[in-house]
Amino acid sequence: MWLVLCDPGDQAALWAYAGLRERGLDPLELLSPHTLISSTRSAHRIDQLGARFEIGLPDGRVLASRDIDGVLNRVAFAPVGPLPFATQADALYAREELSALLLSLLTCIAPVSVNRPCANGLCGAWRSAAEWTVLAARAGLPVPPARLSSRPGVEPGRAADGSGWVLVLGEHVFGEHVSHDGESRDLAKACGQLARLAGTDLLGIDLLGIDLHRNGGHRVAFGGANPLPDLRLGGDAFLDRLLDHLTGLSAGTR
Amino acid sequence: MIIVCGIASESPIARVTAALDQLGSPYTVLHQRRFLELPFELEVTGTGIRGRLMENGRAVDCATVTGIYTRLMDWRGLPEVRAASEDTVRRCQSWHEALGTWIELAQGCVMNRVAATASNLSKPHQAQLIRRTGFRVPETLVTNDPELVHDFRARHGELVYKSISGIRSIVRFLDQDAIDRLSLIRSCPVQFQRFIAGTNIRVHTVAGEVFATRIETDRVDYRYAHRDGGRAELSAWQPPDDLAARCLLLAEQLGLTLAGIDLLLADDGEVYCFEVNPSPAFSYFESCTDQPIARAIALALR
Repeated sequence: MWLVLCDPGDQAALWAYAGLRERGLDPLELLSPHTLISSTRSAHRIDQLGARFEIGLPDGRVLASRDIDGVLNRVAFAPVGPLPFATQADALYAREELSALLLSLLTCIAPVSVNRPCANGLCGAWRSAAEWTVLAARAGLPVPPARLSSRPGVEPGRAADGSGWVLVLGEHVFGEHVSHDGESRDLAKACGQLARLAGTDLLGIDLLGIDLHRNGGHRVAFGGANPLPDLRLGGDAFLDRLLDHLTGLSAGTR
Repeated sequence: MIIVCGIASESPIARVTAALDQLGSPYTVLHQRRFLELPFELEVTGTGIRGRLMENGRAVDCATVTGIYTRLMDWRGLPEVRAASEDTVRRCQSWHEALGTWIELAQGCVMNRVAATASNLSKPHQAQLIRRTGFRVPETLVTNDPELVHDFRARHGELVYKSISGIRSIVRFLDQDAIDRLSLIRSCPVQFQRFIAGTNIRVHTVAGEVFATRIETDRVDYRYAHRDGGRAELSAWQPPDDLAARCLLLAEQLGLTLAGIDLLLADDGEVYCFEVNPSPAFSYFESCTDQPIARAIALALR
């Protein structure tokens, strides 16, 4: 079974779900992270056999982590709604508990997920603009200087002209700046390297949207990155690759 | 120059600064309650961060910083933001976010970087990471179904329960009183674990050094033993080389230069790891055992 795990309002994920269905990925389920943490019957176990979960779904079926072959993970936060507790302190406590549970559930299926969760980002590490800038420079992307200020409202600084996006999925790079000339090849290579550097030893990130903009009309400079990009920018070519990626995940881990 | 971040009078910080004084190492304390007096502006370039921090009218060049020890409390709990103006709250948030970013990017020995400390926000998540380094973790069930808890208890015998997150993190026995209230877990899942009899060990790893403490107690959570009228006796303990090496590997895998690792030497001979604290209150263990933990921290930061 494959999952697209997303908020119901995530249009990019819904687009990917439709595209993957169209391409014949089956069985494919669309699931909200709220379903994972609001189930009336859930069991998450960790023991010598490993970590796993079984979660009752609203339609009576049971979602078992062992049955999941691949996940498009678009979970940005734990969607905890109003909780029925007598005090605000108890409600806050329950909110933290459910957030912590969701992270652990996602960690169970991390080996077959794109992106993999980590403690500072359920769909991949969230970083400040300054951290992305340093990482992008290490990857070989040209970066404009950024500011780091203790004052509120100070923008990290970015170049002004028109922008574009690049999507990185594993070793593949998609976007309007990607072509076969030398500069674009170098750029694509650096974008791929940034995606690799954004991973960690224990948990990695496979998918990144990299905001690029023309600087002075000639060079492309790094403008930002995030692990929850608009997938629609990659078009059909991206969906084809995503299908391959998701179907290959379980083969590499089981 | 060494930077110490947090509340200066807090025990672990006070011990680190005392050790730095003894070593004659220059340091600056960025006291988080004084965020309004400590503004900073830094430039992030392709190679790192340039600029100066100001403290007591004195400029500290980022390039001269060799180490950072940080033990910041959640800024939302600071007295300075309780009933403070919206502008003050924004400034406090911005100061802490910018400081966190700098700590993340700073060169040198950092105890610890923010991203590395996050694994402890979810205990079962961290348990999965711990397992990958070869440590055993207690059999664990997180559930909102009382029947599953009864089944788990029937299989494993005595159970303890504790929070999933880092909040209200007190370990308790699932005694008859708790069993009588088990239906309440339908409102919020709870973490249950098999109770394992044995001896608690706290291992502090400090930049490659290991300081282990053995705790003899008559309570399930020794940290609260005295409060509950119980007993907790701490003594320095020399772990076997292979266990010490595994602790160092675990800390390294979690990206922690400083870690407080909670182990159990089970009566059946197994070693279990309960969790890893990325901001350990080592002062309690140091004061009971005279192990030179603060000095090791100070030396590593130079």
